[in-house]
Order: sequence, then C-alpha cells, then structure tokens
Amino acid sequence: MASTLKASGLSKSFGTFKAVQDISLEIKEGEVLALLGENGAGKSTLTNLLAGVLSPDEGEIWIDGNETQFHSPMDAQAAGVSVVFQELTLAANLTVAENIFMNRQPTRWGNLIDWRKLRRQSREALERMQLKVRPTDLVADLSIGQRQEIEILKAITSNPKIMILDEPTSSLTEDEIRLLFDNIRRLKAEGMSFVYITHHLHEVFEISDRVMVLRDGRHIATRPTVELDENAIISLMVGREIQDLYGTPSAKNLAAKPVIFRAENISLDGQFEDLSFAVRETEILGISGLVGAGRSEMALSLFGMPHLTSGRVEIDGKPATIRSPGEAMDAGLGYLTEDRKNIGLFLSFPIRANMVSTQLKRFTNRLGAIEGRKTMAFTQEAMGAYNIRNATPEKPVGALSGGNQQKTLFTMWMSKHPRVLIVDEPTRGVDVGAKSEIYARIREFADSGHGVIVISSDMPEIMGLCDRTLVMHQNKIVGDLNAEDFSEERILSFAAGINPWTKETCL
Amino acid sequence: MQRILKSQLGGPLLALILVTVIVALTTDRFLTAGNLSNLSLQVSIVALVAIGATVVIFAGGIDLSSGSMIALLTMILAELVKFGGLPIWAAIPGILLFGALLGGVLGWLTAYGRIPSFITTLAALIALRGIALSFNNGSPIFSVDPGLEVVFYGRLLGVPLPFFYLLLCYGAAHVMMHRTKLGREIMAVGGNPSAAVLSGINMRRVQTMTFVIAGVMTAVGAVLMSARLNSGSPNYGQTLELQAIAAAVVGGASLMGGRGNVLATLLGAMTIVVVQNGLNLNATPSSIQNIILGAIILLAVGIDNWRAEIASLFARGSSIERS
Repeated sequence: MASTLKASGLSKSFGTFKAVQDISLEIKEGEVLALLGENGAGKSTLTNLLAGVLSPDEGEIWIDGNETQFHSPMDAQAAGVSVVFQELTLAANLTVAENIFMNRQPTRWGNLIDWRKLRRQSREALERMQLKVRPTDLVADLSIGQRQEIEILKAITSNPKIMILDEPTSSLTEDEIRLLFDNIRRLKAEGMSFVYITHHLHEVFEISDRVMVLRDGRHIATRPTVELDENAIISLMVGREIQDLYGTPSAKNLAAKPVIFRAENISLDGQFEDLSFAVRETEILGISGLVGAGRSEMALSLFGMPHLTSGRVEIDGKPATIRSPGEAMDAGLGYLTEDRKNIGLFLSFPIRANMVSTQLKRFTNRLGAIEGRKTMAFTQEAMGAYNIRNATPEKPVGALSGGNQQKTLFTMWMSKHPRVLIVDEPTRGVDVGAKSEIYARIREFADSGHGVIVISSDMPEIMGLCDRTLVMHQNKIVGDLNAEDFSEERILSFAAGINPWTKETCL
Repeated sequence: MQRILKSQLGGPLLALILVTVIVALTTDRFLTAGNLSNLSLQVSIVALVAIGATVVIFAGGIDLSSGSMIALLTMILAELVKFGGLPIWAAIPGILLFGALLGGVLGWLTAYGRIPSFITTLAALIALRGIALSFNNGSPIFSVDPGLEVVFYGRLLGVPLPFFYLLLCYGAAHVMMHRTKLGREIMAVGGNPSAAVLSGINMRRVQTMTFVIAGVMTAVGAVLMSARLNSGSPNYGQTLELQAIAAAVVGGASLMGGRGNVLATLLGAMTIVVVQNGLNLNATPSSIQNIILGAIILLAVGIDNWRAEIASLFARGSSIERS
C-alpha cells in the first residue's frame, strides 16, 4: 500500500520541556493507526504538529511523497489532513448545516449563500453517516454525543486523505460508537487513513491496524495490532507491567457499617421520579448505565443543581435540606464533575487557587485575607501527594494535561473531607498511569470512613473499583449488584433495560 | 404562543405592538399623520446607528464610540461645507469614508491589538468628543448649507427620505447577515471564536469589519443629524451609543454574541421611540421618562432570558385546559 503521510525526525520543545523528540511515522492509505501513550507522552503535541496547529522545531512531513510545511490548521486541511479535536469546536448558536460547512458554504450569484444547496448537501452528508439529526437543528439543542458526531462529519466533508481523531468516543453512547466504527471502516475502504487516539484499549483492538506507542515524548514502538494484547500495550505505555490497575479492595464488613447517605423517593420534575438508595460508611457505590440514562442528572440534583423537587436525603442519619451546591457542601456532600473544563476547574487560575477554591475559609485569616503561605504549602504538599508532574503551583490549570487536571480536581474535593463524595466519570480522558493513582486515592478516601459514589460508563472501572453498583436505565434504578455478582454481561443487560436473570424488561 | 416566543422576530414585534397599542389608547394625538411622520424621522438616526451597534454585538464586541463619533463627524462635515466650500455631494461620501476609516482603526486596535472592544471604544467615546471640541473653538457651526436640510426633510413620492434610508440600510444589513459569507462569519465568531478560527475563518478580519460597518452607519447617522439641524455641534449624539445598544438589546441581540436578528433591532429602536413619543404626548417629565426607559430595557432582556420559564408556563396552562 502507498503511504499517504510520512514524517521523520519531528521534534518540538516548549522552553526546556521536550514534548516530542525525534519521532518518525508513516501512515498508509486506508489504514487506522492507533496512537497511544499516557497523558504527557506527547500525543497531543504530535497531532498538533501533523495538524498544523504547531510547527516542528525539527523534522519533515511528506504528504503523498511531497514535502510540506503547515503554518496553520488551514494549510494542513488543504493538504488533506483533518483533525477532530477533543474539545468541541462547534458554534452552538448556528445550525447543524452551517457548522458542517462553516467557511465552505456553497454560494451563488457571486457571494450570496445558497441556503437550499447548503441544506441539501448537509442532509446528504448526514444520511451517508446515518445520523438522525436535521440540517436545520440548532447545535445548541443537540446532545454531547450528537455534537461529537457532527464534529466528525464536519471533518469528513472536507474530504481529507487523513483524519486525526482525538478521543472521538469519549462522549458517545455504545450505539453511537458502533455507528462511528462502521463509518470508519467504510471510509477506510474508500482509501481514507486515520490516526486514532484513545485511552480505551478495547477500541484499539476493534478498529486499528497498527499501534504506535509514545512515552515521554519518544517513540517506543509501532506494531501491527494483531501482534499485541492488552497487557503488552499497557507495558509499552507505562514501561512497566501494571499488575492491578484498580488496586486491591481492603477487607471491610459493610453490613456492620452505618448508613452514611440515604436518598428516599427523590424526584426532579421532568427528569426522574421516586429513586431510593443508600451508601454505607467506607462503601464505594457505582452507578452505571448508558450515557443519557440520567445518572449525572440525579447526582447533580442531589448536589442542588437544580435542587430536587421532592424526596428525602439523609447524611449520617440526619435529614439534609439541599437547595444549592453551597448547602450540599455544608451538609457534607462533594460532587466531582465529569466536565472538568467547563464546570469543574478555573482553567485560567493557577493550580494553587484552584486547590483551595472549595475551602477558602480554611485559608483565611481573622481579617478575611487569604494567607498565601498557607495555600502555597498546602498546594505543594498536595501536588507531591498526587504526583502532579511538570508543574509549579503558579501554573494555570488549563495548561496541564488531562490527568493532572483531574488530580487537581480530586485534591479540591477530597481535601475538604466531605462525608460523601460523588465522582462523575473520574477517569475520562485520563491516561493509565494517572488512572491507577486516582483509583488508589478513591479507595483511601472511602477506607478513611467516608462514602463514595462513582458514576461511570467504563464497565471495567465499575467492576474493578466498586463494592456494589446500581444500574440506571431511562431515569430509573433498574439493577443493584454486589461485587460477587459483577459481570459485564449483567451490567450491560440491566443498562439496556433487561433483567439478566429473568430476562424480563425492567420497566 | 410558544412559537412566537421562540422565533427571533416574534418577541420584539410583540413588544412593539404592545407599546403601540398602549400609547395609541392613552393619547389621542398618537395616530395622526403628522405624529407618525415625525416618529419615523425621530427613529431614523438611532435605528441607523443601531445597525452598526448590532453587527458589532453579533461578533461578540461592543461599540460605545458612536455618539462621540457623530459629534466629530458633524463638526467635520460643517467645517468642510461651510468654511471649506466643499459641495455637499462630495462632502457626504467623504464623511462616510472617514467613518469607515475611524471604525477600521477601532476594529484594528480591538482585533489585532487585542484590546477589548469595551476599552477601545470607551477610549474613543472620551477622545473623539475631545477632538470634536477642538474644531471651531468648541462652538457649534450653524446654518451650514440650505441644501443639507433636503437630505433629512426631503420627500420622495410624499414619503420622508429617512424612511428610504431605513429601508435600504436594513435591507442591505439583513442580506449581509443572512446571505453573505461575512454575515455568517460574524455569527460564527460571536458564537464560538475558537470554532470559527479552526474552520479557517479570519477572526480578526471579521471583527475589524464589524467596526468598519459600525463606522459607516455612525457616519450615516452623523450626516442625518447635521441635515436635521443644518449644523454641526460637538455636543451632538450624547448617549446615542447607549440608545443604539438598547435598541439592539430590546431587539433580542445577545451581548454574548452570536445570537439575534438585525431586523429585530429596527423593532427595538421603534419600541423605544414609540414609548418616548407616548410619554412626550402625555407630558411625562423627562425624569420619569428615563426611569421608564430603563425599566423597558430590563424587561426586554429579562423576558428574553426567562423565555423557557414563560413558555413552560403557557405550556402548563394549555395542558390544564386540555385535561
């Protein structure tokens, strides 16, 4: 097969930090190359070099045998390299059609936009990808998964030779992922090549032809996918075998522990009704289910955003009235969001300011001023404890890798010692190394006499970490499994609304 | 009801009809030909300047400079025609061009100099009036040229000329916003700047262009202002920039950028002028007038923000009716 893109000796430094060193790669026509590595391994920098967002300090890029230099994403796109960025880049105020063909709208009579043609072209593109979205829908009205699909479609319609997909499935449902893979296979057959970046190893085996692993900015290995298994890939990524990603559960006699959190018949108008569950001290309770099952909505309204319309919440046996996040925190609840960039962190603030933001009172002196030395000492200690690398307390959180951002978020919430901590997708977009550290922290936190509720779409995560899991389906709790009963099939079955033992529908 | 609340023209139209009905019912002189004709003259200057304000707001910026820029441009126009002896037909295009240039400078400072538009145009708000005061020792220039008045008071087929200016400018603005690439680029930049840039849109050029458009529309306003009073004055146009922004906002433009309809700005401007007119006809003191105008702006934006709640209120009401 002919090679579509070739790069040799690519290097890029930021100050003294060598993000990418001497990387060479080759992408053949119609193949999917999985690009793997821990956060900070250089994947983002490498893709930014290939996509023209950054220019390399050294090295060359050839497309179809011609040496090229990109000075902007537009240059790369013109040469046939399209990127779907992890951060969504759609304008929510515009329609689907306008977003797909942004800056490429068909025109007539010189400069006037041909709306009819624009809508027709969009409809054709949507149908080809089997997406159930209308060209005239506002992007603001779409789900996150649908937006992700439109994002990919936008890149595809520019007819690239090479598509770079950065964590494309992070907000897709199972069905949407299957559809995406079908589309990738079809486009592959038409000769399009893909660079596929992911943290989900099973996706690597399902969709990729070859695997390229980076570590610390260096190329570690490139091998055909069929020659590898999960353990082999992980050991290439971290340079050591991770014996047990999820750690070992400590022996705990949950039945003897008091109930720390209880929700009884809680409802939120127009969302869910009459949900009840309880968490015991030291328990890690999972809430699994498909995206859109209502898990985050339930968690957010327990936290007062928006507050429950009816029902009873008890913490340590005392009834808690929660009408706002402030009241939730006073009552002893913590909520760690799945959307750290938008509602979790103050991206432009330094790490220091983020870490103390949930507990300013603790760092305030009698005059009401925040004590710089105290916050600094706290931050440095926390950064050490959480192994937040390549950063100083003054570095803006937005400049950190996903894993380090997530660790900062955990520090913010755990160091406040809420009685019960709800963590929503605790390891989304986080590399293997940071994952195992986060799991260890969650266990430690639960063991020290707290309760933890883990919302996750990652089935192995639920099974590896939790003592028990609830399964939600269409805004109802349909399953309640103890660790002994955990199996992927059972959880999936409940999530799809079918009781795995009786085979009856749960609704 | 829900559909009207959802559409971008419906709300402002409803507001305009509402205030018009109230004013027509509370005064007997509102619906006279003389008053209505006067009304269209009154609304024209604010409404034309508001086109520029709206376009800038669509792209996520704000323009505070138009009032002072009008003062400066009327002074330059009066100077050129009265003392420089330049014919009107040459002076007016010159003023429009100069407005475009001034807008371009502000846009350039904002987009390429990366100074927030609130700051660049606030500086211009202060400085441009200073420059205006440096002409003619700070005194107004009266009786510029009898031919100038025709521009404002002239009629075509019995209809005052400003009506045609409104028609022409709003028509062009609507086509530009809806049918040209520049218009959609403005919306994209206002809606999500990083998405716009990654789609290959030259964001800085687009931002600069919105200020050029605002400059031209401000110059149009300045020419009409001069023509209306056959004079130039460094005191013209005070708070006009705020009225223009108010018109855009009452018309439903989001100050966050990326949302709104330029035709709705005309409805917004008319709403404000009808209220003012009604209050004048009822001999309301100007102190009360200002209070009422402030309340209207709050209400207009409030209702816009509470759309969802209001719509659900109606939805709930109708479902009760059905059951």
